[in-house]
Amino acid sequence: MSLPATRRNVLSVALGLATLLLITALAALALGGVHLSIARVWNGLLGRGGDSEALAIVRDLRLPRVLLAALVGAALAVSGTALQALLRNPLADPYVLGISSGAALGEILALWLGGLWAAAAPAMAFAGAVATTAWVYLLGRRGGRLASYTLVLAGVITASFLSAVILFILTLLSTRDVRGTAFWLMGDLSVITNARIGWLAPAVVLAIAALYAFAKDLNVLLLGDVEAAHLGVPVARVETLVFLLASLLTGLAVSVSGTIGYLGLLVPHLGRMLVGSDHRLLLPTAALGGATVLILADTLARTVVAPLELPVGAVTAVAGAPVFIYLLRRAAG
Amino acid sequence: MRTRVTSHEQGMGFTPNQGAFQGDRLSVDAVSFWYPHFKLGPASFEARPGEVVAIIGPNGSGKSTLLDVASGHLAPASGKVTLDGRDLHAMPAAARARLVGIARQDTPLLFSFTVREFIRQGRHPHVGRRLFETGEDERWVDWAASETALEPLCDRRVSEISGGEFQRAVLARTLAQRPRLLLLDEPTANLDIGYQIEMLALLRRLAAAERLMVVIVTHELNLASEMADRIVLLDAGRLVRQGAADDVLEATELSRAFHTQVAVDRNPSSGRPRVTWVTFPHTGSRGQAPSS
Amino acid sequence: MQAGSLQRNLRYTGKERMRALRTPVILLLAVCTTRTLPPRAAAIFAATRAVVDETHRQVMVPEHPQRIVSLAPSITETLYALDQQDKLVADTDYCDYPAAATQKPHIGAVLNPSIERIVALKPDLAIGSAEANRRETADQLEHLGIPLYGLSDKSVDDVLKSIRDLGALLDSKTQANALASSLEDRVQSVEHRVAGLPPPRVLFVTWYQPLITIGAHNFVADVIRRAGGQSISDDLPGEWPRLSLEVVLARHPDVILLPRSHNYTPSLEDLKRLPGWRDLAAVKSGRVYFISDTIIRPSPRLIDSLEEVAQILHPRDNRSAIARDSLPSPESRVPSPDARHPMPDSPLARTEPLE
Repeated sequence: MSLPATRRNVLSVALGLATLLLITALAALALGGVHLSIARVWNGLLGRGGDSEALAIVRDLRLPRVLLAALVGAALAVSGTALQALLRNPLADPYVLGISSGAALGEILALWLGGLWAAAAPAMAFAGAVATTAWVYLLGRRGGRLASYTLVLAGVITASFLSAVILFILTLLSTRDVRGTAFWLMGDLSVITNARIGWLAPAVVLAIAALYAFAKDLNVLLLGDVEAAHLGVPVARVETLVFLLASLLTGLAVSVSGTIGYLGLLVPHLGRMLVGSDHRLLLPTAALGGATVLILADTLARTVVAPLELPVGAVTAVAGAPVFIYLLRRAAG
Repeated sequence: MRTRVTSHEQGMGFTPNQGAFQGDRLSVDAVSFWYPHFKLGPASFEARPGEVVAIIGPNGSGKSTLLDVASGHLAPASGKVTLDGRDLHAMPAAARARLVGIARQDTPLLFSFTVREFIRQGRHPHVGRRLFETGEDERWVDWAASETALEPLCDRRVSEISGGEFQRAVLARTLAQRPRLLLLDEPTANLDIGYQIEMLALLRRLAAAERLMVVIVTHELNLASEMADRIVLLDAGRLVRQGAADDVLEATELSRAFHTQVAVDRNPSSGRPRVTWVTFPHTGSRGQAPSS
Repeated sequence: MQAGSLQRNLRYTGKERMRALRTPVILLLAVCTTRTLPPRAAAIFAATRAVVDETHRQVMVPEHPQRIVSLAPSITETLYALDQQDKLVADTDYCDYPAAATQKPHIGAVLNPSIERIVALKPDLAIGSAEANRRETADQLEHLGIPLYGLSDKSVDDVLKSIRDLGALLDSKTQANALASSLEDRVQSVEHRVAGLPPPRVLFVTWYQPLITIGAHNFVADVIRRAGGQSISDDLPGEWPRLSLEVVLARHPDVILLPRSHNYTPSLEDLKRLPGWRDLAAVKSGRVYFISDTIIRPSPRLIDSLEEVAQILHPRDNRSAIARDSLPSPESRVPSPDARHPMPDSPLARTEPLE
């Protein structure tokens, strides 16, 4: 289905998806290792009724987790959308440019160094993401512009190299630490503090809003670099800024929750199936859809093998593969 | 008005209309462009509002390059291009996009827009800072779609239409831009003869009605003969001849440029020159005598 | 001349022929019996016997092992306890008890020891733990002709049995039996004391971010059970399951036990600041106890831990075998010399202990 991008349509779609997001969030607050009724969830949110268990579970554990899932899901989906447009490649995802490997390296370095470094692990991960972004950008430029194929090549090579470095460090780490990093590499939303959400929320929201300013340009960019230039798009500047914003979103997401896979790849495609390829509709769809999907995945991670918990990346991988195959067949047919 | 410039005069750097008022036309003035192994130019030609100029020549003669320079996309190594007196390369890209529309051999899209969305992209230079198109934008999109007979296909995805329909969609997108100068690179490549004639007739009509300047790169020598006010012949990067069809479409000149024997007669109904290939039986190509 | 050589051949008598064949035949027999390429002649000719180790593998161990490599800290401890340290030629980098063990040559980490270093030391026996070491390590050593005797400890009884098995393996049966018996006595005395007392609900925190606890089939769970407690994760599968904090809230443990780890142990203040943790009654009331990490090591000192836990869960006011001032009080955190203090929300070192 392809909706014309009018103000009214954008608002309608956004409203509809936001409603879906709220419902999913509410369900996520109710379900988990311990199932709460909606009434208890409500009491827990408002802090009344004297139900201290519900209060603790809902307000202290689940609410921040749902918020984190929404932010990370939105960030990854929007980043994937932007990169698919930038690289004109439907298989692009937030990690294709090696940013996740850079973040993982930062995280593992923090672990290895220990002490204060380990305390600042999210910051180290983010620094790794930023450094990798800069590096790939420099590698991927051709004649002052970002050529999509050199960018992808640079990203893939960088990711491979960094993975090798990560493996090397893993062998040097004590064996106890090695087992722990497996969760992080898979993607894990269980480590949350209000501090994290505090700086993550404005950063993600601002970056997504900034990308939305390029929505029209992204549409035109899909026609091709030269065509876009002929239509007056400042191609070099737009490509650089979109690249930086998408990398920022990816870096933010990965540094708090590890590498959650498939989301950034599939949500844009699902969004296109719903509203078409116009980015003025697609970007909000991806943001809200990504948030909803990740909250859903996290809820599954908390309920499927309750009272145990899976890392959320495991759920997105298991669910993502069949969705991916379905999309491939649909595209081929 | 048709001027006749021989290749001899061209080589001497003679520019027609030198000293005359340069406004109100496209003026390509002694431009040259250098690739690592290929040199284009210097070349000069003009297009006035309401005129259709056709650039012809063998493969690799630099036609598309000349078009890219004329559009302001490629900066020439020497010479300049002015449109209505303004230097196209000195203009910011956004301003240029409002004046110059170029329809090329687009690559097929991986992400499918609808035909209407595709045409709507042409309004991008005019939408400016606004996020959404206005009613006026939508009217021009409608107009472009109807001019190219794409209305019934508006809701279809660009990936679902035929090659010829896609080409018309590219033209429609360029029309939606409402440019002053319309440049087209092989606009009839995938069209059947019916659509070819229709498209070139459309271009003629638009050129006259909207006072557009139209420059086409084409292989269709006979259509160029029928449609163009002026023809520019390139060979190996040199502009060897330009002028009216009668002057340019001449058998020896064409045979030399295209490295094959051609014959030129007259189209009985229009009176315009008509180029035909001379083929030998048993070989059927390139005028070579059979070896045995 | 042809005739001459023929004559030389005929001169070999039957006896000489037999003698000439002896070495190859023995080698052939050795190869067939050990089913490996014999790397060192000495190993083949030493006396060995077949035993079944605690992982139900059949191993050809030397009758009198002289050069032993220990692949896990608990094993090193037990060897010292049995006074067999002179036969120990090498242990792991993490073997820290007793202090003398750190002076021994090291063969690397527990999960990935250096096989080369092990081989270079020419041991005649390696001892490993099924819970700590990898199957690949065992296979590699076997392939190189070094027998590996595996221990498996999933309960307190298993630990005692391991002590006895090691005694049988190392010619120190009497010592082993004596040690095992005295440990058994201590266990029984604890069980006797706490019998009939209502068991507090216990959450054992192997690691806290994310929360990793103990399953049912874990010697730590057995320690808690015997010390008169009830682990709230007794129904969970696996050895070190990852538990959801929500469920912990719903199961409201009375007591939280944290082993002091080399990496980092959070303080009570840290826990009081973490979402979820701070809502637990045990955290609010300060019933969070930091215990020695010997509880995660299946060595003789495990019984010390058992007594420690019993004292926490069911404190006795009168005479006790444990000195009063060595009791861990709530909110105490004794930093180990190399403790690092990252902030509580760092995702670092989400570890599982190896033993």
